[in-house]
Amino acid sequence: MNRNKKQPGPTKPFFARFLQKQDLHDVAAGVPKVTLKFPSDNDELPTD
Amino acid sequence: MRTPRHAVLLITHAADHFAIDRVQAGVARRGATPIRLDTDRFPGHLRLTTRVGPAGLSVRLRAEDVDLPIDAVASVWLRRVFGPPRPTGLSDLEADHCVRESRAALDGFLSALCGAPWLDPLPDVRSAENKLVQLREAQRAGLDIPPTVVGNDPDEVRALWAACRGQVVAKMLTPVARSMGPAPAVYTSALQASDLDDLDGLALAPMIFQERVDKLRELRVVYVAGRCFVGSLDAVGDDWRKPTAPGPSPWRIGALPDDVAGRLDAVMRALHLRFGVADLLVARDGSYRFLELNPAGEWGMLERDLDLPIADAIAEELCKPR
Repeated sequence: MNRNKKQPGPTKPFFARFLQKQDLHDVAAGVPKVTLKFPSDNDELPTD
Repeated sequence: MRTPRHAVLLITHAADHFAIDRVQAGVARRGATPIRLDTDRFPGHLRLTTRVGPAGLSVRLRAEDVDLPIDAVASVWLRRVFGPPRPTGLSDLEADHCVRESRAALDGFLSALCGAPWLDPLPDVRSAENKLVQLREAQRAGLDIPPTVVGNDPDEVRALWAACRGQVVAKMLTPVARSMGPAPAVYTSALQASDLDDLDGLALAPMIFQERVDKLRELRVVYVAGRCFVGSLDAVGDDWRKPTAPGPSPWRIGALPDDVAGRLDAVMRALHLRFGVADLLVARDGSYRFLELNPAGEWGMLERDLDLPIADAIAEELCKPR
């Protein structure tokens, strides 16, 4: 066995499963949803 | 063109409304001149100049009707900082340079205002945004924190799962943010047993894993210079911030026991913040558990739905004589 051979790593971050579930949920409901935050759904200083 | 003498600079973005309007009105009521700086309007619709010469450094902001020399800025409220917009119709290289140059000029402009008191200084906000920093200070102050693992080691996650008898949530290290657009977000979610067999993805990005507390209520606590304004929600799901069908406001006025408020005050002082929004929950056993702190957390819904005078408290702090 070639120990130097690279094993394939993960292809998706762990958090991606929660992102996907949420996307499906949002689409399935069929109505526009809102958050309980106002005026923005934002808790950060997005300086990107 | 107006040249105000005692100005309070309000830093936000062009789509912001309500909360910024309320603070603006509160500042004006106190006799100061509120000047709104929408950072995403720079450089297209806002002129910022920093001059360096024999007389020293001077900074000037020119909007449609305002000419603001730096020595007229009495205080600064940092609500949001949106980056300069990316120009369209340019090559990638040109657009990249435009954004980078604009951001550097904006950062330099903001740093030149360091002589005025900020609510709160950007470096302190940046430092306090880190969830691990928050948890460390919260624990030091004696706040009750659910057992937590932050990292990328699957064995540690499995050990937490066993210790919490399968009641664990996963959450991100950085704040939930959808801005005002439809970008997807990752909300706090319950971990399932099947997730434990597939934790390899932590090698790409770590997460926070925390005991899933049996809760009665969620609290959003807005801290302004020692005062706590508390909104309360009956417990629903794993993350109240997740979008739901529209309906009547579920927010109610809440309260913090004195000892919990005192500990939160100690956390804010340790983080050098005079403003912050903390999320706590009330467990079924009556204990108060600290979850996280958002140095730029949203609070407009508590003022709108509960008449909590948060904007007035912020305006008062901005206009306080120094």
